[in-house]
Amino acid sequence: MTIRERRRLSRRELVVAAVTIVGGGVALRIVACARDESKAGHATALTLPTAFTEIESLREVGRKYCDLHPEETLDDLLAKLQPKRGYAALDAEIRKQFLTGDVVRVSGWVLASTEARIAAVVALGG
Amino acid sequence: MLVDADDWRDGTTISADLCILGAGAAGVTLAHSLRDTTHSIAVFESGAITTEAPTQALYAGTYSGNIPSVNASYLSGSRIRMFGGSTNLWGGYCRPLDPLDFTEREWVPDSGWPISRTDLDPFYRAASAELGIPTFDAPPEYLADPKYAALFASESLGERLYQFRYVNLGTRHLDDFKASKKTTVYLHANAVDLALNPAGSAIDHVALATLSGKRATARAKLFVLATGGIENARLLLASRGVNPKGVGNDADLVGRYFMEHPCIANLGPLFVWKRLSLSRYDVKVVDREALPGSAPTMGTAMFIAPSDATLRARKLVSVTAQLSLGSTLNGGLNEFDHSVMRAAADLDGETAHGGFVEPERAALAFTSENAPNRESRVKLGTELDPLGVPKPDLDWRLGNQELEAILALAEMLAGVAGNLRLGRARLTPTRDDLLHSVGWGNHHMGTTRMSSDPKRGVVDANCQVHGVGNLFVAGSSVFPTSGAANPTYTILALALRLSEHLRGRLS
Repeated sequence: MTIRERRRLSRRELVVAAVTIVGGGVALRIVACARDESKAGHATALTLPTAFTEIESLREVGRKYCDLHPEETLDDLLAKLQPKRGYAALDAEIRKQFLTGDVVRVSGWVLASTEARIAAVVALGG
Repeated sequence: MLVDADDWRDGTTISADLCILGAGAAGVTLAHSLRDTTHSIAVFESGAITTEAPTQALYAGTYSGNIPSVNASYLSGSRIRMFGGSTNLWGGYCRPLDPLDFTEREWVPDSGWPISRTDLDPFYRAASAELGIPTFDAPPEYLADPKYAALFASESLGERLYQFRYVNLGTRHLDDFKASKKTTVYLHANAVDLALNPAGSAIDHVALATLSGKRATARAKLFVLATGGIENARLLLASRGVNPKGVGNDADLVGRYFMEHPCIANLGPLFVWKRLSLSRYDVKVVDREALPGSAPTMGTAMFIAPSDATLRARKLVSVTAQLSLGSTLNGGLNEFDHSVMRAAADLDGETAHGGFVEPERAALAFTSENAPNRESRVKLGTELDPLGVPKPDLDWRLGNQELEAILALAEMLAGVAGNLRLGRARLTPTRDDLLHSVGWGNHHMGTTRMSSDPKRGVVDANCQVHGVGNLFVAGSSVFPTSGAANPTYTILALALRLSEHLRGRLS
C-alpha cells in the first residue's frame, strides 16, 4: 500500500504517527510507527534536535517527496532510516550520502536520501 | 607601416621574408614579437581598423551540425574580421590549459599533444608579460586571507584560477606597426589561395584579393596562416590548384576535429549560507577602466573543477564551473524553494547561528572541453563568397562526454555543498533540456590539429604543416584538444613559441 493510498484511509487505522511538542516547541519528538506488527521493530521514535526551528518547512519538503515517491510507505521510510540510531547517526549518514551520490532530486533540489526521508516522516507525522 | 590594399596597383607582387595571413590574436602577437628582427614581415588582414559589414559578411556560411541551439549565424556572429581580430570583443579570460589536457587520456579518443605543459610554460609566462598580468606560477597573495577561504575543498573537487585582462591586441600594437620599417600591415587584403609549388612541398605564393577588385601576389620564405580556426581550414581546403585535397590535407584531417567550448548557464544555482564567504570565487576586480558597460578590465576569480583524480576515475573530459554572485540567472526562490532552504538550514545547523538567514545565491556557469570528434568539422560549402572562395559549412557535433562532464561537476558541487554544510543546489533542467540550451565560447579549435605523426595531425610540434616545408599555422586550430580553459592565453603562448622557432628558420 502506498503512502498516497494510506492517506486516503483512516490515519488511526493505518498509521499511528504523531508529533509531540514538549515545552512549547523547545524540544521536539516525532513518533512514527507502523501498523504492521512485523515491522514494529524498526518503527521507533524519530527525534530531531531541539534547536530545529523550521519544522513546517521540513514538512513541506516531505509532502513533496511523498508526492514524488508514492511507492515509499511509512514502513519503508522508517525501515530505511532506522531512527533508533539517533539523530547524530542520521546526520552523519546525510553527509556521507552527499559525497557518495546517494541523493534524490525534489523539484530540482539535490537532497540526501536520508534528509528527504526524514522530511517525509515529518510530513506523515503531522 | 600600414597600407590599405585598396590602394594597390592591380596585379602587384609583395615580397617579404615572412608573410603572416591574419592579424588577430595569433597573427598580431607573432608579428609584434618579431618586430626587432632584421627580416621583412608582411601581415595581410582582411578587415580594417574598424568593423565593416561587407568584410564581416565574408564569414558567412552554413551550419549542418547536431546542436539545436546553433545555426548559420554562428559563422559570422562568433568572430570579428578586422585588425586585432576577436581581441576586439573578447572577455579577457586567461588561463593556461591544465597539464592533464596535454596528455593522452585513454577515455578521450584522439587526445594528446606532442608537447607538454612544461614545454609551454615559458611561453605562458611570456604571454602573461604580453598581456600585463601576473604569471600562473603562484596563486595571488590575497587568497591567503581567511576571507577568501576555500569552501569547496574536497577530494573530488579542485580549483582553477582565472585572470581577466581585457586587452585589444590590435589597438595596443597599432602604433608600433605604423612606425615599423620592417613590418608592413596590409588592410583589406584577403588571402584567397595558398599556391603550392609543383611538387606540393612548399608554398610558392599566396594569392590576395580585395573586395574592391584588386588582385595581388605575396611571396615569402615562410608563411604563417593565422586567420582563425574556421578560416585556416577553409583556406587550406580551398587551395586545390596543385593538390585536389587541398594544402596539408593528404591525411584528410584539415577541417576535422572542430571543437568549441560547450557552455551551460542555466543548470541551476547554488545557495550557500550567508555567513560563509564566497569571495574566493567571485571576480576580484584589480582594475576597472572606463569601458562601455564599466566592465572590469583586469581581475581574478577562482573557478571550480573536478580534481585530476576525479577526472581520471570518472573518465571525464575537462570541465569548470564559474560561480557568479548576485546574478539574476535562474530566477529567485519560490515558496517551496524557501521551504527547502529553511529545512536545510535546520539540518545543517545554520539556524543555531541565530535563526534562518536568506542564503547567498551563486549562479553556476559551466564550460566543458569538447571531446575531439573526427566527424565534427569544417567543410567547403557549395556557394562561393564574393572573392570566389567556397563558403564554409560547419558540422560542429557534440557527443555525450561534454554534457556528462557538466552534469557530473554540478552534482559534485551539490554534493560537496551538502557534505560540508555549505548549502544546497537546485539543478532543474534535464539532460535533454541542456542539449537545447547549449551555449558556446566563440572559440574555434582543432581544425589543423597538432601531432608528430602526419597521419594524425595537420601540423607538427613546431606548428609547421606536415609536408609543406615553409607553411606554419598559428592559432587555436592547432589545438588537438581544447581543455576547458579559454583559448586566447594558449594562442598567445603558442604564437610566442612559434616566434622563437621562426627566428631560427629565418636566420
